[in-house]
Amino acid sequence: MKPRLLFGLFVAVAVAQLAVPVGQIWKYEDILHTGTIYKFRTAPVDPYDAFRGPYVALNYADTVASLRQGEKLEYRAPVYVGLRKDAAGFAQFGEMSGVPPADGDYLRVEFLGTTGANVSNGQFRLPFDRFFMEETKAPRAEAAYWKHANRRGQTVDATYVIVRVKGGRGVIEDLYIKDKPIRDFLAREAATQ
Amino acid sequence: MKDAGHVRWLFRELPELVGQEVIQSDVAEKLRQHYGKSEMAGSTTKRWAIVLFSILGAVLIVGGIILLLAHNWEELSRPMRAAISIAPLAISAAFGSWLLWIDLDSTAWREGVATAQTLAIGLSIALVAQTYNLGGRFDEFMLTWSLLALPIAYLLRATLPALLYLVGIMVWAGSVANQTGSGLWYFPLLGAALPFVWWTSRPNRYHPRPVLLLWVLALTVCIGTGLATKRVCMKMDAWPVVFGGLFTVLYLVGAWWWSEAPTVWQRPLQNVGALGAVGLALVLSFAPVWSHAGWHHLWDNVSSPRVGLELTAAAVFPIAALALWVRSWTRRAWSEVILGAVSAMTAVGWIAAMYEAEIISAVLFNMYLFVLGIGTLVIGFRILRLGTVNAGMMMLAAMILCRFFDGELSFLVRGVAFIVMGIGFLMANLMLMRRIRSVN
Repeated sequence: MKPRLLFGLFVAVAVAQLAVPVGQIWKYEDILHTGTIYKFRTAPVDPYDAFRGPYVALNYADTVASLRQGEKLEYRAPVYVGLRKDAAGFAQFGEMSGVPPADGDYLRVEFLGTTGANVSNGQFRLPFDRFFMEETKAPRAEAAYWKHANRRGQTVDATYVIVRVKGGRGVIEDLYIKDKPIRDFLAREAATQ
Repeated sequence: MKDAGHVRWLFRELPELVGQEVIQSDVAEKLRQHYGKSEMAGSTTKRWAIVLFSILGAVLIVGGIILLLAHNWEELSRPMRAAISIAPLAISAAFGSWLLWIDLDSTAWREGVATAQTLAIGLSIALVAQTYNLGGRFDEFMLTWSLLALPIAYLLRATLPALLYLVGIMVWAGSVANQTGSGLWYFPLLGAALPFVWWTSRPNRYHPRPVLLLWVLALTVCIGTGLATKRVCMKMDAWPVVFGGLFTVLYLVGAWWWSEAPTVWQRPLQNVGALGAVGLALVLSFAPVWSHAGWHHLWDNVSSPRVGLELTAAAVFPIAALALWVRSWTRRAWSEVILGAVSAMTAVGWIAAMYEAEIISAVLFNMYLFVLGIGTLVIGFRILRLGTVNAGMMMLAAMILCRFFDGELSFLVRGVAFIVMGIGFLMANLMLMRRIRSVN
């Protein structure tokens, strides 16, 4: 192959390679600037991701939605779930379907199966399930998150994430403990100790 | 080994020796050719060391960047972190473009830059996900990374991106193994790398580059095929037929195109195929292994067109194996015929097990292992190769060992049988060494 042609092809490939992360940055910056704000209640799970550095792993309470009638979905298939807000601004899940709803906000989620005997309800996984922090702060954040996290049947402080939603995608803006952003919360806790 | 300094001195002296008519010019040329080869060998070793160090350097640099950025500096703004995330990829791509622009034909540079760029792709995608707190799906990440890395192998003529691609698509097949039909894309993805394997092998198929590629190819194909056809292998219990076909294909393709390899390590396909076939035959010599096979397992699981497609893809291996086996018969290549029979044997054994005659399947494989062991032994004696004789003995010993674990025999019987086997080993080696000595 001619060297100049090879060079041209390589540049095209390099542009395509760069387009993937740049496209992601573009898309998520747009969501963070223009997306609708929702609060999502969280529940604790065990975290650590060696490749991306430490993070707080997030699990969400009640990720169940009613399935649209006659809909047959496969395990791990991408599905769409409608969103609406309650009075406090927390996200409520609407109907789940293989196609996005015609109006209103919605999220693209991963279908995990129906809930036991009730085949009209489907479980799903939200795509934003980790909150990355600086290496030194993540373990403290995790400990604080576990201490204050929501558990079924217990009265605990509200831990939630604020998520910007647009076009089926959601991006976490911040993690909150006791209505304070996690970094502020940790700074205040460190000051009182 | 000749001293490179002495060779260089000799090369400097040759024109003068020819000029003074001490030696004739054709003798000087023959000397150049003879000593040139040894000097080339020395410089090849050096070149490979440089290539390996450049790859290691690239891996360490990108690894260091991963660790630095994984710290997740909060002092930096989000857009700044996003820009830093893509910087390693942009820099390595710039280096790659520069290499091609100046048309630098240096393996060390090409491999080093290609390694850095391949790792930088994964790094960039992962760090952008970190910056925006995206969990993401592992299978999508692996697929994107692998697909973006493969063109680097072709364009920079670099081996490492191809190796990472082969491993990457295998890992991807594993991450989608539970989604029926999705894993089948493993085969077209594998097909995308095969022209590179052929292209690399064309000038010298026994060169370390294609040999390394073929080792990784052979090993990843074995795992990748199992993952891609998981439903056929596990739910329908057709794994003996699929793997019997796969190992036979690997062995016979290797025997077809890589038969003149000077060392064992330069025969990756034959080695993986043969070891896989013998290992499979040993496993299948146990009757309970066959007990799950049944027609109901097969038909009950053909629930959708995707499953049918998976079944068709899996059937390609035994069919290709049969075609290659027939070729070995027509060439009267008996060692290939004996080992290549494993695919046909698994098919017969599987059908017998379908009719609940698993004991017949197990007996069949015990007989096969016996014939394989004896056949290898005889071939070893014929060609006077100690390694082949011992391989035959090892097969027989492994089969007997398996039967001991299988049956309820007393320690006395087992002990006697082991001693007899040991004596057999020693006698065979002694006889062969005597024959080799008498021939010499």
